[in-house]
Formats: sequence, C-alpha cells, structure tokens
Amino acid sequence: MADEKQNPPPPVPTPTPVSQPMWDAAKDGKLALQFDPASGKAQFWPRPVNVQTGKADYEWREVSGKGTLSAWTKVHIPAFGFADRVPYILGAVDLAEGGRVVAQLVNVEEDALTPGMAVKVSWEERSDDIHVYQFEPDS
Amino acid sequence: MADNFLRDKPVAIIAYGEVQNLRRSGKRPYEFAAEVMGQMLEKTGLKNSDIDGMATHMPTAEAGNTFYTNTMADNLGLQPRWTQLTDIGGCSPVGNIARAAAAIITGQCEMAICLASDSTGTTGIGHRRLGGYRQEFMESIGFQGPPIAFGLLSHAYDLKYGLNLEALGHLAVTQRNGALVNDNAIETFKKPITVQDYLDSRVIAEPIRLLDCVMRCDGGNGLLITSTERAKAMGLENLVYPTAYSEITNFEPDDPNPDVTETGFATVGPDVFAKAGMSPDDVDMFHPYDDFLIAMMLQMEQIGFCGRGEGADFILGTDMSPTGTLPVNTGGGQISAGQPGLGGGGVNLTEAIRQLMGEATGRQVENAKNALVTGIGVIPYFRNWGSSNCMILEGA
Repeated sequence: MADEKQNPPPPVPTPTPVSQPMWDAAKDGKLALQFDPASGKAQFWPRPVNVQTGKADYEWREVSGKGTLSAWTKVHIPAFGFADRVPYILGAVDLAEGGRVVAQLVNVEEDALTPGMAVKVSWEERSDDIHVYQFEPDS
Repeated sequence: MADNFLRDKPVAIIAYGEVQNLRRSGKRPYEFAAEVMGQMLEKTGLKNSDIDGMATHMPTAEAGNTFYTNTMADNLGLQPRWTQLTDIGGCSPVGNIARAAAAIITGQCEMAICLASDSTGTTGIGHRRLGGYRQEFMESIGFQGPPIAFGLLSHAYDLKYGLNLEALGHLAVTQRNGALVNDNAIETFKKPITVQDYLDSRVIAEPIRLLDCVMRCDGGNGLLITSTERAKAMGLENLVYPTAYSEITNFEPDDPNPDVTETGFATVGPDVFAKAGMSPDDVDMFHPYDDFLIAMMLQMEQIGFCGRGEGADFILGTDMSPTGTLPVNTGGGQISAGQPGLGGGGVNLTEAIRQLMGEATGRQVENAKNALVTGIGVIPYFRNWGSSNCMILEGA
C-alpha cells in the first residue's frame, strides 16, 4: 500500500449520464462520438449539447477508430497517476470521420512518429467497466 | 464590435498595489489582498469605507469556497454595493477593469477595488475531480497540467511554422533581466540566465522546458478605479486610463478539428486596435500574459506585431528591454517574477500601470504614453486557450 500511495495508479474516469454511451461502446471495443445530424460534424469530448445548434439534438455514431496523427509530445514529468509510465507519448489524432482525440500513443517509439501517419484505436482495460482509448500505428 | 465605451476616458485607475511574490508563505489570498488594499489606502488617503465596489477573481487556493466574495469583503471590512467574481483565469484581472468601469459608468458604484491574490505555492492546485471533460478525458490519459498542453501546442506550431528555441531563449533572458531589478519578483529568480541555460533546462513535455514555464507561487496585486471626474475632484493627477478593451471566450467552439496555433487574439487584437484607433506600431510598451514563452510569441503574431510564423524573427530583431523599441514585460513577467496562482494576470497589468505612473525604479521606460496588456485564461482540451483579452492603457 505504501508504494501505491507514492505512485498512485492512473485515475479511472467516472462517466456522466451524457458520456455513458461512449464508455458503453468502449467496453465493446468501439469508439463512439456525438455527431450533428445536419452537418455531419463530429464532436469529442461528449457534451450535453450539439455545439452546432446548442440543443441536445446530437446523435451517437460508432466510428472506425482510424485517424491521422497531427501533433504529439513526449511527457517526462508525469501527470497524477502516470509516474510509472514516464516517459509516455500523448498524441492528437484527427479521426477519419472528423473530431479530434488526445490519447496515449502505444506500441511505437517517438522516432517512428511522423505527422499525418495513420493510427488506429486500441484499448486499455482500466477497470472492469472502463476501457480507455489509446492509439497505435495502423500498418 | 468597434463601439468603445472607454474612448472618452470616463474612468481612471488612481492607485495600484502589489506584494512580493513568495514561494510558500503559509498565507491565504485574503491576507495578500489586505496588504494590497493597505498600500492603496496609504497612497490615496482613502478609507476602506470609501470603497463601494469590489471585483475579485477565483483563486486556486479558495476554489472550494462558494462564498468567496462575501468572505473577502468580511476580511477587508468592506461594504460594497457592487461585486464581481471573475473566473476566466489569467484574463480576470484585466477583465475586471472593464467590468468595474461599466459598473461605475452605470452608477452601480463609485470607487471600486479590483483584487487578484492567490497562494498556490502554499496550497498547491489540489486534485479535484472536475466535471465537463477534465477528469474524464484529460486526467484519465495523463493529459493534465499546462506544460503538457503547451508541449502539444508547441509541436503543432513547430510542424506548421518551425519552432525557434533560440528566440524563445532570448525572450527568457530579456524577462529575467527585468526580474533582477523588480523588488516584487520571487527571490528564486533573482539571478541572471543565458540562452544556453534555457536550452539546457529540464524537459517537461517536449519541447517545453522548465524555463518556458511559470512557477506558481503566493502573492497578490490590485488597483483602485473610479470616475475620472471624481479622481480629478480628489486632486489626483497621476492617473492611468483604460481606453479600449476586447475579450473573447471559447474561440471557435463549432470547429471539431481546429488549428490549435490560432487563438482568440486573432479576434481581440485587431478589435482592440480598431476601438482605440491605433495600430501595433503605436504601442509604446507590451505587457502580454506569459504563462509560457511561446504564448507570448503567438500573441505577437496574432495581435499583429508580425505575421504568422514570424514571431521568432520579430523577437530576435526587436530590442524588448526597457530602453528598446518595444519594451516587453519589464518587471520579468510571470515567468521570471513568479505567478501568484490565478492572480498572475495582475503581474503584467500592475507592471504596465507602474510604468505609466513613472514608478518603475531601475527599469522605467522613458516617454511611454500607452501600454497594451493582455490576459490568457484556461488551457482547454487541445483547442488552444479558452479566453483572450486585450486592453489599452494610457498615462495621464
């Protein structure tokens, strides 16, 4: 327990009624996003409204989990709960269907990263109910 | 948005106060606010009972206090008829001047105190489980804290324009030279640095280094503002006038894949100049909010001192010292004077007022008639910062 107190594990996110469909899909290995039905624009993270209209008229869609890498940073001084992972790489991924997700990049070294490279979602089982999205090279 | 309610100088800042930034003082925001108010009452001969308006910001150290305004008024013995709590991070102190001006012009109060104080060095930032994306989508993936967000942003800038670390180091040295002659700068930073020191400083989240960042600490600052008519009736002459203001929050919320190198300054920079009837060439001093060095460079580009991607050349080609062509953050900015938590926006602001009142001992800019001050609030989910504001201040 003493060690755990010094190096706490990564926090398990707590879903809200708004975000619950995303975490439900994640448990099945699917990435789901909110979309504006009229324009087809995606939004990530889940919000209580469709930002295009200000109303709750969004719809949930499962997406391919594929995208391209736009920027990344190798983190040397960790955020709370990530001391055991340093250095770790966080990347911004522009999804094929639109929307942008920031996530940990796994199964890749920093020198292999290139802007625009193809990546795909993978999953980390943070708890029985919560699977957290990560991205890895799609080759 | 070119209507300008400040154009005819209806209100005036009559005094400022600031305490020295401290690493871990054990004090709370109330104690610093009391010191700041005490300085200003001493300067003006006013009593606390003469103050009938109070604007504050939400300090990290008191973020759980849902009665912050009441607690502050009680601590200071104030009985305000108008209050304002502003929580747009580093935009709050500059934003409070505009809010207080509106309150004074509309007769809601006559003499307002604007306070910014925090003790983040003492209390830390805490580890709260916040809703609305932070705990679920940032803390859960190790995407927490400004250096990581600025690491991503800096890399995006690097890919688009190329990042010149030498230029950022140059900015670090210029600011540190200001801190060396600023009595209120944190003691830790009262030693000179070189560009090489910047380049060699510890990497936190690539390419962000330790000397790119502010250090959170304890401290406070504030100002008194009233109608120009009343200031003159009081016989006060060393006045500073806010003459134009522009603010924006949540820049381009409908773009699902925004260019993160763009910010609200692309809107508020040109807007504040239009309101003031000025151009960047007319700015005598620039006091930009500086949580990270690259944030200063982005502001120079987007406010219009230079073009996109030209920030590094502008920095390397411009003397930004107090005797230069564009003096910048002459007291060291927050990066070298310390960031008193969410009161940090007042560091740049107070220095601008001090300069315009001619009281910047050891770094006084000669013949400066105006200053541009800015604020930045919140690092959101890889969208670039949440709030941006710009204000033009003019001396008497």
